[in-house]
Amino acid sequence: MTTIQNVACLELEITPDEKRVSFTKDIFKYKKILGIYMFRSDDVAQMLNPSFTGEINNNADFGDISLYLNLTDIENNQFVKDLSLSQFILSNNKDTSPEKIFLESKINRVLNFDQSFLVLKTFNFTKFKTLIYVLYQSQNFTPQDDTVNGSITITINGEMYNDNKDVQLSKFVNKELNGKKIKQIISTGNQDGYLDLICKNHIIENVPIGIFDIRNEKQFLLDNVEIDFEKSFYRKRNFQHFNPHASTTYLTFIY
Amino acid sequence: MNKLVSGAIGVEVKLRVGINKIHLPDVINLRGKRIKHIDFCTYDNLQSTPSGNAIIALGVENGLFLTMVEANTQTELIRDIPVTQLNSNGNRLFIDKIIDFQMSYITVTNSNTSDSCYMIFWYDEPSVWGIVNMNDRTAIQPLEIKLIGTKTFFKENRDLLQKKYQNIILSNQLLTPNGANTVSSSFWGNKFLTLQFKGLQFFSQVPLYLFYQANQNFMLRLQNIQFDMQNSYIETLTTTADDLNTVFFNAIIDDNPVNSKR
Repeated sequence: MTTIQNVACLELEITPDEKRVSFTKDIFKYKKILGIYMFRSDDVAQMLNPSFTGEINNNADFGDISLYLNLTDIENNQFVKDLSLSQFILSNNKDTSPEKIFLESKINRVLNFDQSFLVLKTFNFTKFKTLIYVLYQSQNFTPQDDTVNGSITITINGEMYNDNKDVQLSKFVNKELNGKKIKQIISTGNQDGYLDLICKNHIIENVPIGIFDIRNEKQFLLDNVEIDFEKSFYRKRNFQHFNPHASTTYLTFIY
Repeated sequence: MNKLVSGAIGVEVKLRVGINKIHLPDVINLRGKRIKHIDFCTYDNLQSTPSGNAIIALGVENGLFLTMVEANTQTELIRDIPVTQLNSNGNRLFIDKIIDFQMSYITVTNSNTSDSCYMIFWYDEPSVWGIVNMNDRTAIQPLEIKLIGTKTFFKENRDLLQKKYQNIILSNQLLTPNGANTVSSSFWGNKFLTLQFKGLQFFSQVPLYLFYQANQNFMLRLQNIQFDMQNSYIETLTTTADDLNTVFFNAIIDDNPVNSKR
């Protein structure tokens, strides 16, 4: 179980020339990094990235590429050397990956990003696009309480929002949720797309909706975040194939 | 969540046609050990035992029930548990008992096979473990071994010398960081890992696939155990070109200052 406080989304485009790939954002400076994941699309289809600039490579593409993570902390200790990243990959498709096969990433250090990088080994590819998600801490965690004080479920109709587009969450959410401290989001139905959540004191950037469909011991919870629904977006990104049986997305906000 | 363990030993139990009650063998290295968890291997993950005997066909396990006698009280404290309940995607039952193996047995409801069962007993050995706290600092190191025959010893790795292990995670990527081809997961089913420390096999013939943990609900938890890697090895029952590739692990090791504990 992982409690999310902040998530940064980095869109990476990797070419065969790059044997070492750096990844960082200014916001990480002096922040404790809690976990690092990659994201891939499902087995057969690709999904557009949040910024509309390309499609995330799918499972088949990942098969030919081996990625290893190297991390150095701010005391210049390389404490992660050649960690096989294939087991820290989140997928968006519950149909092809019902068990959500991944390991929980537990970093828990402030990193020196100048000395932290991915190592790439591959048989053959031309260009590779993926998303890196960095979970980080910006303040002390609030005490966890798994009591459901209340919940509101919103329905995002697939017919109305079938195209790739960004829609303000406030279009679906009534004012009852304003100011509520959200401790979990549960998604069901169509998982094509991202949630970009701007919260009071926190940012949860373009996370794949499918990660909120994990309901086993590896589930992701939220650190009682107050979401600004005016500034937060549902970013619909269709697969190349369309599954009419799962066209509607249901998001349950638990507080 | 899995409990902390300091070792695991694979035990083969050969079924016999027409025999409905098969006692477990006496395993010297498990005498007096507190058993934490048990894995029962099925054919989809493991095709042969280390001795080369075939694992029971898929489905046979549905008719097998394990009874374990506690050593101290000689009572059948765990009676007729379906062996399928011992496969739980890493959400392992916490047994926490010292077992009299020779008095424990498998009940076979349809005894028409002479194939073998293979079980892994994860145990606790207080004389070797170190304290592990949930918030301990850990580091992650690569650990790889190029298989060269039926039995391949690890090379000594300076970065892992005298380190205390908290997990060993098997990777399923095609290439290692050095660019070597890895053993495909479809060839894991006849490979076994043995890890020694000071001449004792703390992990003895444990199927390799059990160290792949991404599909498990909970990860393994080793109790800050040290290993002599030069005396530790992987066995493979077949030696085709596909078998003799590299096995790549990541070892999670304790990264606290040496004098901060004990």
